[in-house]
Amino acid sequence: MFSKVLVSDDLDCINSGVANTLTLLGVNDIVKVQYCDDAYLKIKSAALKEHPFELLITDLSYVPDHREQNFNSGEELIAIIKKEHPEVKIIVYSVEDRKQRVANIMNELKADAYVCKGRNGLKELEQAITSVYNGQTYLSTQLQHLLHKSSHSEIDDFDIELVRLLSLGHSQEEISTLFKDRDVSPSSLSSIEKRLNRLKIQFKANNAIHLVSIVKDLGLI
Amino acid sequence: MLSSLLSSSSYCFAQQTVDSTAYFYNKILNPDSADDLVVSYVYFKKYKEEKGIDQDTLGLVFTYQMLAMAEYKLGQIYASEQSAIEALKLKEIASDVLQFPDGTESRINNHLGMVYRTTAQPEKAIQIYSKALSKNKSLKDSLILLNNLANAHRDSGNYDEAVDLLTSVVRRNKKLNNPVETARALDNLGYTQALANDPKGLENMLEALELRKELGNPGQLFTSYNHLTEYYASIGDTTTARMYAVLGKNLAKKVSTKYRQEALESYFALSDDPEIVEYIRNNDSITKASLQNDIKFASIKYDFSKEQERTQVAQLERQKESQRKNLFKVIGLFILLLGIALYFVLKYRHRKEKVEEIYRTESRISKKVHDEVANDLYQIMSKIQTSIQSNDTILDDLDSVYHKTRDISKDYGLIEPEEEFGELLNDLLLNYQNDQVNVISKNLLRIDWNGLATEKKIALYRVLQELMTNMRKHSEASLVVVSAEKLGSKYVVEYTDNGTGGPIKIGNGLRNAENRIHSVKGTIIFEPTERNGFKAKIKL
Repeated sequence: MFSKVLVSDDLDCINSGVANTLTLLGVNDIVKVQYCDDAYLKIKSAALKEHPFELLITDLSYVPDHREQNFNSGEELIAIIKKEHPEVKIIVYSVEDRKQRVANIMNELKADAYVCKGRNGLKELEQAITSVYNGQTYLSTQLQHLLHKSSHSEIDDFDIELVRLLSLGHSQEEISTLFKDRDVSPSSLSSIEKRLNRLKIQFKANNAIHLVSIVKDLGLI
Repeated sequence: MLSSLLSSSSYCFAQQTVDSTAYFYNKILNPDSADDLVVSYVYFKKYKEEKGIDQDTLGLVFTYQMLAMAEYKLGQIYASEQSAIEALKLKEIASDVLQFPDGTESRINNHLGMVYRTTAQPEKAIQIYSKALSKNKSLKDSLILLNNLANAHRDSGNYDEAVDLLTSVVRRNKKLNNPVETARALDNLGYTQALANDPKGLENMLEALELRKELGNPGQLFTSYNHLTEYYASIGDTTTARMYAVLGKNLAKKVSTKYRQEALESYFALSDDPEIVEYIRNNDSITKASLQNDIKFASIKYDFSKEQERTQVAQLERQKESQRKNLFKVIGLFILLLGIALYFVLKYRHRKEKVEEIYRTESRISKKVHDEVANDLYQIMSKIQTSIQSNDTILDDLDSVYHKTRDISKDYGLIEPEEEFGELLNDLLLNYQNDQVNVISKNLLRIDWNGLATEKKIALYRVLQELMTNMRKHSEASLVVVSAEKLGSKYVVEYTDNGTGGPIKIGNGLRNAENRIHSVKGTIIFEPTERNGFKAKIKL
């Protein structure tokens, strides 16, 4: 397990909760800070003393107060740490669950884990710490769900045209031929079948007729 | 001639005025003394001013003619020219509308020609007469003009032209059986021929003399005697010349002092006494020089007054121009002030609207916090007080409150629509996806959203959020489709659900959505779908 961990959150009670979890996991050296600047300085000085931090657990949003800060958000802190001390693992522990911000932190800033604060926040944090220690990345389950869903929800003009042709009474084979004639891709029977199945799920239709009826009711064709 | 002039020019005048006009008209034509001329001149000058006020052009033209005549006789040659020209100009302008007495133009031109002959400008006189001839229609007037034209030619030394013209005038007057004009033309012809050393000259002058003796007009007879005197004097026959001079002198007594003066001058010019001859010659040259001076002075004076007039006109024009400029300045300033005032009014109104919007938003948040968070927390508190609950139950309740606060925060939180707006919208929609509701987006991720201004993006985001929240709260829909399309520079986003939208009741939420879209100059249309669903079409 990690031996030296820095916890950064502007709310001290959250820091304590996180520290508690870490203690239960067997981490002895836990340092708590409430400002990004402090976190940065701690990591710097520890590295200079050749006793560096192995893990940083940070929040994203810090309420500005009387102290002037160089780093005003978790993103800025993550960016600088990943640049200057890439050996330090980073877990984000935040209420933020908007997909874009999460994706940015994970993909662009290369944080190692992202845990959402919530009902099961501390439990997930525990799993995250273990995963990161084992060299894996970790995402809260609600985020996985979110990132996963997006690819299935989007339809396009092809789908609408497909349903329109169905509504005109064409069979799947005929539609495949029609698409081939029109140079529309994909036009193979199997891909059309796949598309229809996906549409049936998306529109909660039991069969092709039901699908046409629903799509028509929604005014899409 | 007099009656026609008077009847046409004075129709609106009282009988007395007509009488005095006629009286002064005669005074100008046949003045007894210089005083008569002056009094008549003053009369017509006054008369002119009245006519000017009345805008009576006919009367004005007549008055200018009279003035020209009086001025000529008073030796104001230049003023006379100007009056005559003014009369011509006025006549020209008004001739389309008004009926002028016959021969008005001929008379004015004749007068002008006379002015030019007196001021030794025969070329100008020839020009005037030629012009008048080309316009004249009456044969009688034409013959008079031709006679004068010939005289002008004679003045300029062009005897041949003058002789030709006069010959034809004589012939035509004979044909018309007009002895007065025949005699005049014949006399002029003879005099011109004599000047050109044509022996026929004497013959013609004598013939004219005979004719005039028959007619018995002393003024014209005097002219014949005078011409003959000059002729005989020029060929050195002093005896005959003196005879005619005496005849003329005797006749002149009956005519007028002016003629008498002329006759005496011719008589004395033939005198044997060299001193008298010298006196006459001297007197002649003095008179000539005096006339020349008068003319010169008048010309300068006239030029000066004309220059003054021009300066005045220019000054007036400048004054008008500066007045106009000032007017424009005032108008410009007024518009500027109006613009500034409008700017502040609009700014104030905008600020007021903004403040009101902020206030509305604040009260909305406050209400939400009260309804959703405070109420729930109060329930939890009372639950803890009244019964012993397990930690887990309390934790679950708290978690639900926590999520509510998260939702409120999300609803009003910062959004950054700069990049990947389609993605952002998609995320928003996915938040509403659950086991009951399927949210389907169409083309959201495919469209290039960069053409949409930031404030429009925010408005669209908030409105979709509002619609989705509305859907989850009220509609019991199982399917939601949000489709986007780019038509030219416009974006069309359509929201459709299959819920129990029923008849559209525009509540606070939808009213907010409407306001948001209108505030960024977009349109939003709500309509029910075929099966009770709900549809909103947003155009930005």
